[in-house]
Amino acid sequence: MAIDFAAIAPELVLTATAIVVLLVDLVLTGGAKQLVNPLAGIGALVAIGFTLPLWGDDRSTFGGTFVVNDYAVVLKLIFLVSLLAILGISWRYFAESRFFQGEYYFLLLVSFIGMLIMPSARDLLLLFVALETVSIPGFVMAGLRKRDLYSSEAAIKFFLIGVLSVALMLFGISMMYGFTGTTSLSGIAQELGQWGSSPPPLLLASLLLIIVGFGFKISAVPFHFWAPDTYAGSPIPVAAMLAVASKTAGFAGLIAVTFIAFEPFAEVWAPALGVLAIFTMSLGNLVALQQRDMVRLLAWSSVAQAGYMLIPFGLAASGAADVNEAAVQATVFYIAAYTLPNIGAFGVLVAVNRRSGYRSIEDFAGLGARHPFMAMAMTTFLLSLGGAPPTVGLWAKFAIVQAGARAGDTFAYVLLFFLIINSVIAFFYYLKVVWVMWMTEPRDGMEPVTPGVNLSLVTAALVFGTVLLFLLPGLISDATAATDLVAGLS
Amino acid sequence: MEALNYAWLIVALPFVAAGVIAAFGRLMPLKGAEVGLAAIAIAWVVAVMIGYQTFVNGPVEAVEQVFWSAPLGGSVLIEFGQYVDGLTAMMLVLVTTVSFMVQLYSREYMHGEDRFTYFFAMLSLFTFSMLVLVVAPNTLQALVGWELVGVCSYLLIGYYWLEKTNSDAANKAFLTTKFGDIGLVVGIIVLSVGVSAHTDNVFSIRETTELAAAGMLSEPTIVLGCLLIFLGAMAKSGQMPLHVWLPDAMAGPTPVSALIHAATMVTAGVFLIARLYPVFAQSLAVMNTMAIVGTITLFFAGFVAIVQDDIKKVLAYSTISQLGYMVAALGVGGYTAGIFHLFTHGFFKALLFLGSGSLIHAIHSNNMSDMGGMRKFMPVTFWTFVVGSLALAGFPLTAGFFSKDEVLVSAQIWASNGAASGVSSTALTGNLVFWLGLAGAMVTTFYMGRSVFLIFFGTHRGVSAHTPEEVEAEVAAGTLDPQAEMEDLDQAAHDQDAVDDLSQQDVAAGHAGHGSDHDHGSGGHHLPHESGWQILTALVVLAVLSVPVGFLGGFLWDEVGGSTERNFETWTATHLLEEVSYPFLADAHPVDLEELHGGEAEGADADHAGDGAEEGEAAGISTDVTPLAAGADLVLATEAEGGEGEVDNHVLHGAPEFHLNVFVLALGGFLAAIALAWTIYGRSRPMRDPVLHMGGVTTLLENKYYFDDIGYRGVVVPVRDWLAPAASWSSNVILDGIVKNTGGAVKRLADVTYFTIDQKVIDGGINGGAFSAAWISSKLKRLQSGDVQRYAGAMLAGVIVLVVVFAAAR
Repeated sequence: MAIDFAAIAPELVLTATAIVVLLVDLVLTGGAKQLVNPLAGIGALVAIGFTLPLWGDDRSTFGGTFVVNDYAVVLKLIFLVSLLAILGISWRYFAESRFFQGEYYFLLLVSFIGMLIMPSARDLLLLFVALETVSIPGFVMAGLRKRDLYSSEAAIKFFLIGVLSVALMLFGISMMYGFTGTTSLSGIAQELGQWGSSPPPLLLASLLLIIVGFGFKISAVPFHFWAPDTYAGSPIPVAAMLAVASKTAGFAGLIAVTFIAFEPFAEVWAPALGVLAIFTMSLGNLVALQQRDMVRLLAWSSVAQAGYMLIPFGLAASGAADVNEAAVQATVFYIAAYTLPNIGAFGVLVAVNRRSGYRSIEDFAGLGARHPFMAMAMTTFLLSLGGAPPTVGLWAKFAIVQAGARAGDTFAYVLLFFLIINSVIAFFYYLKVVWVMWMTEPRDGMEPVTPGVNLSLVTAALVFGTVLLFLLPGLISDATAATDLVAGLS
Repeated sequence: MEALNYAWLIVALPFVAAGVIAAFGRLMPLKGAEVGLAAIAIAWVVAVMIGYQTFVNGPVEAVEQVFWSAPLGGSVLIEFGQYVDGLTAMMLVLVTTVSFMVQLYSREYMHGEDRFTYFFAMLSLFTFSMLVLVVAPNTLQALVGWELVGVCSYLLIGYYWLEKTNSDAANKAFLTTKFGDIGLVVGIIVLSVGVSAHTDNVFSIRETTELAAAGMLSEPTIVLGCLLIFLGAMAKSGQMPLHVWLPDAMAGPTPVSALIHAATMVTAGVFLIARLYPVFAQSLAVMNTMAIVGTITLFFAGFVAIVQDDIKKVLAYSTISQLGYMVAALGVGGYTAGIFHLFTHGFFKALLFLGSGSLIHAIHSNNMSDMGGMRKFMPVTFWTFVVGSLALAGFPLTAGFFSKDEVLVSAQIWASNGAASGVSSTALTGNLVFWLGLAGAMVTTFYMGRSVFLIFFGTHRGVSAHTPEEVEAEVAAGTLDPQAEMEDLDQAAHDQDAVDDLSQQDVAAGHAGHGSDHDHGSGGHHLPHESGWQILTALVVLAVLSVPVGFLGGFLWDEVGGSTERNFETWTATHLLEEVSYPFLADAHPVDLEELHGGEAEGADADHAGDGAEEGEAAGISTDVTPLAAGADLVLATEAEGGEGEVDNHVLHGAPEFHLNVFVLALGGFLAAIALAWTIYGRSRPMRDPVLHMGGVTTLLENKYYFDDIGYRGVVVPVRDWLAPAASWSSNVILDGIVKNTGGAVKRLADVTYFTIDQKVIDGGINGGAFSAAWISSKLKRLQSGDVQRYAGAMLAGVIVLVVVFAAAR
C-alpha cells in the first residue's frame, strides 16, 4: 500500500516546520527568539504552496481513511490562511511579553497539523486523533502565561471539559463500533442504512455522544461553558485561534460524521442540532449583550456565530442530496466568511491591548479619534460579524438563509426566524462598540494605541479581505460551491 | 434609445465623485463641493435625456445589461448591471434633480462646518447608493443598493455625532430598517426559490415579474415572498408601525433630511414594490395588506403632525403620511397613481425641507413657536414654502393635487371593480382608501396651513421678553438693540427648554448643530434675514418644478399641450405591465409570455416604422399596434370608469379623466381645512393653541400613539434589562444550581470515599502528603471556584437531555 505523499504534503510541511521551529528556538537567544514567527509563517506559505496543486484532485491514501478532495482543500486553505493571520497578530504580542515563544509556535503549528488532517479524515479513529491533536496543544497554549492565575484557570477548565467531552465521544465511538463493526465513515453509513426506521435507542445515543465531542469543540450550548472563561484567560492570539481555527476544525469533524457517517439517521440528529443552534445563538447573543470585557464579548459572540453555523445542520434530511449539499456549502461559506473578521477583531484587540493592558469596552472610547485606522478596521469587522454591508458577512448570512429556503420546511423557517431575531439582537452589542469607538470622548490620560507595523499590515490585509469578499464573493463561493461533499464523501 | 445605454454613467458619476472628494476634497478650492456638483450636474443631464427619450417613446422596451457577475455558491450568480425602463428613468430624473438641488443648497447651508468635505462625499455616496438600487436588474443588486442606502443614512443622520441624541437616532434608524431588511432578504430568497423552478436566472427582476404575471409562481411563494419584501419596504418607507425611526432621523442636517425624505431613502421601499408590482398584483392578500397598512399610515401619521412644534417634525410626519398614500395607492391597484405621487411628492417635499432649512438657518431654532412673521424677513423662502405647502395640501393645479387625485380615483375604480367582481374586500379597501384618503388630505391641509400661518404670519416671536406689539413697533422704529435681541432670543430658547420637555432636545440640537457650527452663530446679531443665492436658487427651482410635474399625469395634460398618448402612465409603464391583470378579479387571464415577447419584437419593428401606426386610440398605449389579446386592449382603451358593470382588471387605468365628484370633495375639504387653520392661526399665534388642548387626544398625539414607547418599553427595554440578564442569570444561577446539586452529590460521594477509604486505609504516615494535596486542592478550588464542576455537570445534563429527547423518544 503505497502512501500518496502529495496528498499529505501540507501536513508534512507543517510537521517539519514545527520541528524546525522547536530546534531553532534552542539556538536563538533573547530578542532573536522572535524570528521563529516568520519561520513559522514561511512554513505556512510553503504548506499553502503544496495545498493549491491538490485543487481538483480526488486523492485517497492510507486505505481510504485519508481523502483529499476539493472540500478538504478549501478547508485546509482556510486553516492555513488563519494560521498566517494568527501568526501576524501573535508576533509582537509574544515577543514583547517574554512568553515561551518557541514552545508557543511549536504548539500552534502542531494544533494546525491536527486541523489540516480533520477535513481529510474519513475514519472515526483518525478523526479522534485529529481532534486530540488540535485540542492538546490548545490546553497548553491557554495556560501559557503560567504565572497568571487566570491563564492557569483557563487552561484547567478547558482541559477538564475537553477531557470529559472526549471521554463521552470515545464512549460513543466504542458503542458505534460495537453496532457497526467498522470505524470507517462510509462503512458506518452503510451499516446504519440497514437498520431502517427502527434503530435501537442505544445506537442513537452513541451517535449523539459522538456529536457531543464535536459540540464541545464548536462551543455549542450547553457545551460552551468553558469558552468565555478560557478565552478571557488565554493570551489574546490564542483566544483568536480557539475562536476561529479550532472551531472550524470542530465543524469540519462534525460535517464529516454527520453528513457522511450518520447521513441515514439525519432525521435524528438534524432536529437535535437545529435545536442546539437555536439555543446556541440565542444564549450567545443575549449574554453577549451584558459583557463589558471585549474578549468576553467576542467569546460570546463566537458562541452565537457557532449557532448560525449550526443552522444548516438542522436542515439536513437523509437522502435529500441537494438539500444536504446546500447545507454543507452554506456552512463552509459561513466559516470562510467568518474567519477574516473574527481574527481581525482579535487583532484590533491586541493592538489596543498592547502596552496598555486595555481590554474593556470603555477602553475603546474615542478610538476613532485616537487611532482612526484601527477604529475603522474594528467597525468593518464588527459589521461583518453582524452581517451588514459592505462586508462579506452579508453574503454569509445570505448563504444560510438561502440554504434554509432551499430546504423549505417548517423547521427551516423556524430556524430562519431565530436567525433573524438574533441578527437584530447581535447588532445591539456590535453597534454599541462602534458607538463607543466613534462617538464617545476618550478618557483623560489614555495610553496611545501603538499597534506596530506588522500588526497594522495584518489588520489592513484582513480589512481588505473582508471588503473584497463583499465585492467578489465568488472568490470563496466558487470554491465552496465546488465542495461537492455529499457526492465525494467516501 | 441610445441614451438608455448610458444610465450606468448616472450611477458611476456620484461614486467617482465620492471617491475624489474623499481623497482630494480638502485640497480643492471649494473643499470638494465642486466635484460633487459637477458630477451630479452631468448625471442630471444624462437622466433628463433618458427621461425624455423614454417619455416620447411611450412604454419602452427595457434595456437590460450585465456588466459584471460573480458566482455566489451553487448555480446562483450575482450580477451587477442596469435595467432601464420608464420607471427607472422616472426615478433617475427625480433622484438626480433633488440631489443636485440639495448639493447646491448645502454649499451654503453647511458652509463653515468642520467636516464639510466629508459631508459632500457622503451626499454623493448616498446618491450613488440609491441609484444602484434604481437601476438594479436583479433583486440582489437591489439589495446591495438598499443596504448601502441604509449605511449611508446611518452616517449622515449621525453627522452631528457629538450629540448623543443624534447618534441614537442614527442607531434607531439603522436598527429599525435593518429589521425590515432581513425580511427583505428572506423575501427575495423565497421568490427566487419559486423562480428557480422555471429559470436559472433566479434573481432577475424581469424573469420574476414575467413568471408571476404568467401565473407560474405558486400562491404561497408569492404571498410569503411579497409580504416579507413588504416588511422591508415598510421599514424603509416608514409605514406604521415601523415608522418610528423617521421623525428621529430629523437629527441629521436639513439637506440630508430633504434628500432622505424626497428622493433617496424612504422612496426605496415604494420603488421596490413598484418594480416588483406584477408579482404583488397576483395576490389579493398582499394587495389588501398594502392597502390597509398604507391607509392606517396616511391617516394616523397626519394627526401627529398637527401637534408638533418642530417644523422638521411636522414635515417628517407629513412624509410618513404621504408615503402612506403611495403604499395605499399601490394596494388598491393604483400603480401609476402610487409612483406618480412618489414623483410629485419628491419635488415639493424637497422644497419644503429646504425651505424649513432656510428658516432654521436664519432663526437657529427648529421651533415654530420661535418664528412668526417671517414673510417680511424672508420673502423668497415664504413664497416658495407656500407653493410647496399648497402642493402638499393638494391645492388645485399644483403637483400634489393631480397625484392625490389619481390616488383617490384609483381607489374608486378599485372599489367598483371589486364590487363588480364580487370580491368584497377590494370594495372595502377601495372605499377605505378613498374616504380616509380624503380625510387625510384635509388633515394635511390643516397642519400645513397651521405651519405656514405660525411661521410666516403674525408677528415675530423670537423675543419673548417683549410683547409682540412692542417688538413690531421697535422694529418699525429701528430702535431695537440687536445685541439685546440676540440675547433675548437665546434666553427664549432656554426658557423653552425649561418648560417644554418635548422640544428640549430639538432646541439643544438646533443650537449645538447650527449655532456653534455656523460662522455667523457669533456674528448673527441681527434680525432674521433672507438666505443667500444658492439656497434661494434651489428653492426657486424646486418651487417652479412643483407645479408642472403634476400635469404630466393629470387630466389636464391634453389641455396644456400634452398628448394623451404620452403621459406619465405611458412613461412609467412597461410592456409587461400593460398585460398584467389581477387574477382575483373577474375575467382575468395570465399573461402569455410567448405572445408578450413576440409582441415586443413586432412592437419594436413598429417603432422603427414610425409612430404613424398609433392613430386614434382614445387612451391608447403605443403597443396597441401589436397583435395582443384583443380583449385586453379594449378594456385598456376604454378605461373603465367604474360602476358600469365592466370590470377593468388591468393594472393600468389608461389616461386619467376628470372626476367632478372627486374634485369637488377634494376642493371642499381643502377649503374647509384652510379656513379652519386660518381661523385659529391666521392672525397671530393663539395663546391657547387648540390642538394642544384636546385632552387625551393631544396627549395621545404628542406621544405619537406611544409607538416609540411601545418599541422602547416593549422591545428594547425587556431585551436589555430583562431577557439578557435573565439569560445571563439563568446560565449562571439556574443551570448552575441544577448541576450544582448533581455536583454536590458527586462531591459528597467523593467526601465519603475520602473519609472512609483515604482517611482510614491510608492514614497516618502520609499525612504530610495528604496535607500538601489538600493545600493544592484548596488552591485549585479557589481558582476554579467550583465552576468547572458545574460546567461539567451542565454538559452531562445536556448530553442526557439530548439523548433522552432525540434518541430515546423516537
